[in-house]
Amino acid sequence: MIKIKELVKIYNKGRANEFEALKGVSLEIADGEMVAIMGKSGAGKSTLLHVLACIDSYEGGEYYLNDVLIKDLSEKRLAQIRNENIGMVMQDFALVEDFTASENVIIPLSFAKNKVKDKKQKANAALSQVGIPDLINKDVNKLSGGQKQRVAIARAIVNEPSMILADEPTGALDSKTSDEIMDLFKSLNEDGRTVIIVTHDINIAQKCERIIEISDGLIV
Amino acid sequence: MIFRLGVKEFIRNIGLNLLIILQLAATLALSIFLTSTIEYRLAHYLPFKEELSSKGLYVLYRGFDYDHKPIDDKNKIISELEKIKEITATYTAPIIDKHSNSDDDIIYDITAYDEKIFTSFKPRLKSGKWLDKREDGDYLPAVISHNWSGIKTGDILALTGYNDKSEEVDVKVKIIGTLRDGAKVFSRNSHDAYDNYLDLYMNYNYEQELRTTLFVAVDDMEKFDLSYIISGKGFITFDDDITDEQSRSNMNKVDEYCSAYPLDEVNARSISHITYQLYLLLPIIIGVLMLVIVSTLSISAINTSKQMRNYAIYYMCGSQWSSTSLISLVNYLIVAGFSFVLSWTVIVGLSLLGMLEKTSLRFSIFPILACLVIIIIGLVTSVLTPHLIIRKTTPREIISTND
Ligand SMILES: Nc1ncnc2c1ncn2[C@@H]1O[C@H](COP(=O)(O)OP(=O)(O)O)[C@@H](O)[C@H]1O
Ligand SMILES: [Mg+2]
Repeated sequence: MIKIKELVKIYNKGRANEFEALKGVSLEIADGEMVAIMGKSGAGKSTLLHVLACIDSYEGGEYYLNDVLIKDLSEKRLAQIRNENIGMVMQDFALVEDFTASENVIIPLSFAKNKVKDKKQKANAALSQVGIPDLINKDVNKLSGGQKQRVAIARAIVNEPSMILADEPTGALDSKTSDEIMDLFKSLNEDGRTVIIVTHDINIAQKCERIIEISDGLIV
Repeated sequence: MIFRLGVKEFIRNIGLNLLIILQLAATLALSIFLTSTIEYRLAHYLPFKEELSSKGLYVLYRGFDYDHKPIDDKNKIISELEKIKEITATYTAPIIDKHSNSDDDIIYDITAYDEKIFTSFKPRLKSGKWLDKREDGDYLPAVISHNWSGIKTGDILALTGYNDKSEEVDVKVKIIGTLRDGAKVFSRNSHDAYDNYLDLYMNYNYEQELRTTLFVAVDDMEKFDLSYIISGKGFITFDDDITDEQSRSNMNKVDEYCSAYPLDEVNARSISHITYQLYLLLPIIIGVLMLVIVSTLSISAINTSKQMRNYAIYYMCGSQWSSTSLISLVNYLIVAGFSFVLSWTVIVGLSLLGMLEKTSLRFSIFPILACLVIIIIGLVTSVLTPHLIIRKTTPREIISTND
């Protein structure tokens, strides 16, 4: 459950190139929703997603994740939240290129606070779930874009986080592959996960239950 | 996880890492020799530091010469001097092998040491043990110089010496050790060197000496009733409360028997010699340290910037940004481990093959400490460098590459 109130994000605060990317955004996303955050390039979509993903801080307002105020938490605590509650999928896949598919999926398991047993089986199960059980031991640099994105999604779900945050996940894919990836997100959502997809593409946004439109750092 | 990723990172950059291993191993080897050199300088000063820094005389006794009266009893000199603390000396006597097969009898030289000398300075041996480890018995224990007569450790020689009344004395000599060729020994030769502590020693080289020397403890000479005379170098130390007047009169007296030089002058020259030597080594030491810092700095910087994107991915997946710098540490530890093993393997290997005998290399705790210091400097660099690099940027900036 995400709750943000009057969220303000200012880049380079106090410097000459200071820039207010989010100007007081408020929204709520319930567990199990599938939401698109839509807007033009430069609207502040990625900025919002990074704050939600606990990889960036914010200057004003409040962000509650599962009723925990995400503000002034320790690096350690934030790392744990990223590890346990959030799965991220990026436009450029963000895979370690010289790892195999399975090694990439194992990364979040390895950073888990409590030692995870059967890491390999868990990774293989996640890769099967995203439809590529046969690519487990392949180096990811030998995979196609669609396959890479499936590996990234497997990595995002392997720790069973409550929400998946995707930043332009189909931006680098052709339309057929895009549709397959969106179907995959849909099925993950049907299994009960919250899915939040940032996109500037209306066709992608329309595949979600709800569209939040953002422009110039404000919700419209 | 950090450990596994560090290992991966090492393998990923295996080519570069191998180069760094070679370079660090060479640096370690260099510092092993460097430390040995320093130790070597000190290893010849420290044994006689107490004597050299006392009030007294550095003396050169010539066994027989025309300018001086011979001495066969050090108590006789002591009785003529004032405020004497101690006389530390080297002695000599002839000893003959009458049973040899050659036409003439073989005459060996004996170098006998006061206990202070043979316990303070141990020459490098080819085999056996030095006089400080000798055992009492029916044989006169002796260490023999490197020789071409085929005499080796363990041999027992039936020789003939002389007692105070110049009568022949039969004595069985047991060879308990053999010097390496060219080994430094506390000198009893009569060349007129008195500049600094290094002149206390000579390299015993068979080709130069062309005679075989038996090194023994002077107490054993006494025990086997062999006579001897003072010969070579030694110290006469004075009591601390000696007056300048007494000191001068002692010196004049000693001058009748042998050449004497004030110890404080010899000591001052020794200290300045050591200081100068260390001073010469200083640029090399600084160079070695620079090399270590620059090379670890560059490998950590290269690794970190190459791995930055992966660090950002680990961060996204739940690692802490600051701890990703530890990956470079693991990488460095592997490099350092291999380098350490490599440098010591090569050095120990070469010395087992006998190829380092003419160098000042010594195996002791100090070269190991020097290696550790260098490795620790590298270690600090390898943690700080990535830390400084990743601090300048946030993982978010690396992750957000879209638009
Ligand atoms: N690190 C930054 N420093 C300064 N301005 C930034 C930074 N990152 C993004 N911005 C600005 O913030 C605005 C929103 O960026 P972003 O959230 O990436 O937009 P979107 O993802 O919607 O295209 C843009 O105008 C962008 O130039
Ligand atoms: Mg964006």
